[in-house]
Amino acid sequence: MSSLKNKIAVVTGGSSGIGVATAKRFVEEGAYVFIAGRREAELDKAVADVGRNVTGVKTDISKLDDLDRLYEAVANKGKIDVIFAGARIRTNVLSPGPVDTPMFDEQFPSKDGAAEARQQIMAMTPLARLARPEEIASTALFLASDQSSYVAGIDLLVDGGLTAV
Amino acid sequence: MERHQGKKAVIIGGTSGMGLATAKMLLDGGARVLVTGRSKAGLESAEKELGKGALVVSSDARSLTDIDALASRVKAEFDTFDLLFVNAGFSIPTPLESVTEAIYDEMFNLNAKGPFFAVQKLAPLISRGGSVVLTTSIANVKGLPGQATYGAAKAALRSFARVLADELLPQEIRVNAVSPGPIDTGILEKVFPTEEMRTKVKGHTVGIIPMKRFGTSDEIAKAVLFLAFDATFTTGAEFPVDGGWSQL
Repeated sequence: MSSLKNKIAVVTGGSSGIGVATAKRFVEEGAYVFIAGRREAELDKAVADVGRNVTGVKTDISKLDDLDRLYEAVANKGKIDVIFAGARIRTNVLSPGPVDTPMFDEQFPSKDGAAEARQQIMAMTPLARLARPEEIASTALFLASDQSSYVAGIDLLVDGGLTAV
Repeated sequence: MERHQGKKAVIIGGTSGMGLATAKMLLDGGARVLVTGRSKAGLESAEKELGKGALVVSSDARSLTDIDALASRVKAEFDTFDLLFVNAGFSIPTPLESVTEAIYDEMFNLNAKGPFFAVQKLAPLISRGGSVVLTTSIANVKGLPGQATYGAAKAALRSFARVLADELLPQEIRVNAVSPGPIDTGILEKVFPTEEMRTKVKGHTVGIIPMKRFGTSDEIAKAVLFLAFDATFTTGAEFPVDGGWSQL
């Protein structure tokens, strides 16, 4: 598969969960990916995980100086084709429902609390499960590639039917 | 490409435009495809375009008798299948004062009633993990002059997508809608009789689309196949493929 051949992509918040799954999928599809993340150790792990055609840039996206540094790092490589979590040319939004990421459990003070929340969320989600990060990544890929060339400004739900059903 | 190897798809309204493009893409990916259509000319040209790999079946998407016969045919040919794409639809643009009861009924029969019963009769044959995709329209979210009954019927269809998504959860079938904006399918040639009217409509349309162009049938087909096979955590949703028209 090569639907992002020779494209440059920036994935912010790319160190874990949805972000790293998306970075991996983009690289598999031929892109060079810049991962922006706040936590150095997590970022290094994500870069190692993606393995090739990837650069990690330590960035706190709430700091404008950091964004300038991210811009410089990417500009040395060329022009950006895709920003995941940002905006340029065709802009679309994807709305995940509950996703099975490390962050999900980290929200809760205890393991039991997290397990209980999981059960509750599964019970109220029509598809009766959490999303896999790869399912968000494949939707990001669809919106990022030419596959969605006539799609602009939309909000695509990847929520197991939570919103509509 | 073996992307859709082993998959079986039924496309209601698959002899031209978006349905035909989707059928082609599925066949290219190794799937088995059954398409339906109504006009003799359409059926013949689809047979030619799709070749031997496809089953082209004459079936009136408004007729419950035909839908029953189609379900039997699909059962005989495929036993079970993976994707039901309910795409048949048509608009008769008519200003309020000229809408007759016949036009009203025709719009609802073709764009809402037929698709509803198609899902009812064919869903029992869809495999677990399979998918239904309904073609709605930009007209169900925009007040487009002359499209009152068409837009309302498509809005009904959008509503069906939500409810049927819920009702088909036990069978593990996802139901979603693709909502095309102006697509260059050749349907304008049917709707507007003169070249002058078509040029005017096309020019006007391009002017108001954020992307400043019509979409292509292939762009719809890609969205349909995405919803059918890749969007595994998405159900009850509507996916606008409209050059930004509905949102910008």
